[in-house]
Amino acid sequence: MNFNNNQPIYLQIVDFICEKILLAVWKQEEKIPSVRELAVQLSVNPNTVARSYDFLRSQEIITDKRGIGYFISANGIQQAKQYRRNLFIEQELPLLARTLHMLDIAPDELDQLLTRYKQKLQYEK
Amino acid sequence: MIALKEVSFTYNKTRVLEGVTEVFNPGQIYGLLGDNGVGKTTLLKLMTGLLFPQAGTITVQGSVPQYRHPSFLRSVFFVPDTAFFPGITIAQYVEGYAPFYPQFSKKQFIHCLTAFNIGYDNDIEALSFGQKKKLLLSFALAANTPYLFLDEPTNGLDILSRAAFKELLPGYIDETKCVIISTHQVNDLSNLLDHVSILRKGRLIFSQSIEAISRQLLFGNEAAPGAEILFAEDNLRGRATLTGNNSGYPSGVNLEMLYKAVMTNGEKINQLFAHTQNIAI
Repeated sequence: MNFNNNQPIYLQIVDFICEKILLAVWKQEEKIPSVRELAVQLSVNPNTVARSYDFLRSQEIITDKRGIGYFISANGIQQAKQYRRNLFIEQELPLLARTLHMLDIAPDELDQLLTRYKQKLQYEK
Repeated sequence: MIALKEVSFTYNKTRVLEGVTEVFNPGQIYGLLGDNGVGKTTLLKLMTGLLFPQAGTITVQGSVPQYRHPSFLRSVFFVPDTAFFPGITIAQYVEGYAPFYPQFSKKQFIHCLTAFNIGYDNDIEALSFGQKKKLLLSFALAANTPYLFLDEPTNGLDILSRAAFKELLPGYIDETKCVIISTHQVNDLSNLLDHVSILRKGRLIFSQSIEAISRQLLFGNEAAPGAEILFAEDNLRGRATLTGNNSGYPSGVNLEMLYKAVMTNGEKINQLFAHTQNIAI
């Protein structure tokens, strides 16, 4: 995992997990790695992963079954999507909008580009 | 818990540390940053009882390092920058030294050595400088002492071993253990630290948790209009700036930039933390 500098590490780990859920690598109601396992896997401080899990729990993306471990919520996909959508609209979109404006890319040009990109994705599938 | 109170230390007539007051809690990884020769190693040696302070007090879980009680010595492990070993085999070393550490785990030791790609049946003298360091780091992690002091642990390690070390440390730490790492290679360890302490000219000029730093400071590529810039430098993406954080979001932390900023503008930065300060002594 590559860490960037704009977000605290614990939120980058939250994104990493949301992506796993949204791409269905980790399935709803499935058990996920323990705090320590994920910390070793990502080479980060276990306290940081614990914070990420606390945050994910507060967003109802994962649940804590005492003594057993952490699981993706039954509606994990929906919750993860909700969280990532908000993040995209509040933080990522303004940056994208700024670049589009700077490069004079109009909405309909962007629309065409997005359609082409979608086709490419479907073709690859 | 380790508590230092107004600790001062002088080598001959050179004052190395002056009035250092700090607390280190279990379950946390502390990064001790500072230029060469500001007293990082001295501070570690004082906490492990290898040097004695001229003024002030140090207690490690209630005992004074200077007295070197067996119960104290069992609970600390110090990995110096340059490792020294007697001319014996690794197996003999373990046989001779492991009994001093009741929590020593041979299984963990082998796991660490394997991660560092060192065979168990080696003569220590046949190892290179870097390999000796990895051997000592492996022993230190396997000793499972509640207090672990690492002086420049990644110095002399190759790229793969640095990565291995970063993977091994998260497996070692738990809520009963306290790790203090002195380093000037901040980028190596930035994902592992809970807390950053910065020494300058023998004084502790900054000490905050990463969490507090990401709340109070904003590391950005462009300062908000009107924000007071605490530190700035040009980079490929324009200008990297450090300001107070009023964004409502926690910021990512760039330790190298924080370090430079504290060195040039420490007082202002500390003021930002002042109203949230809760020093527990």
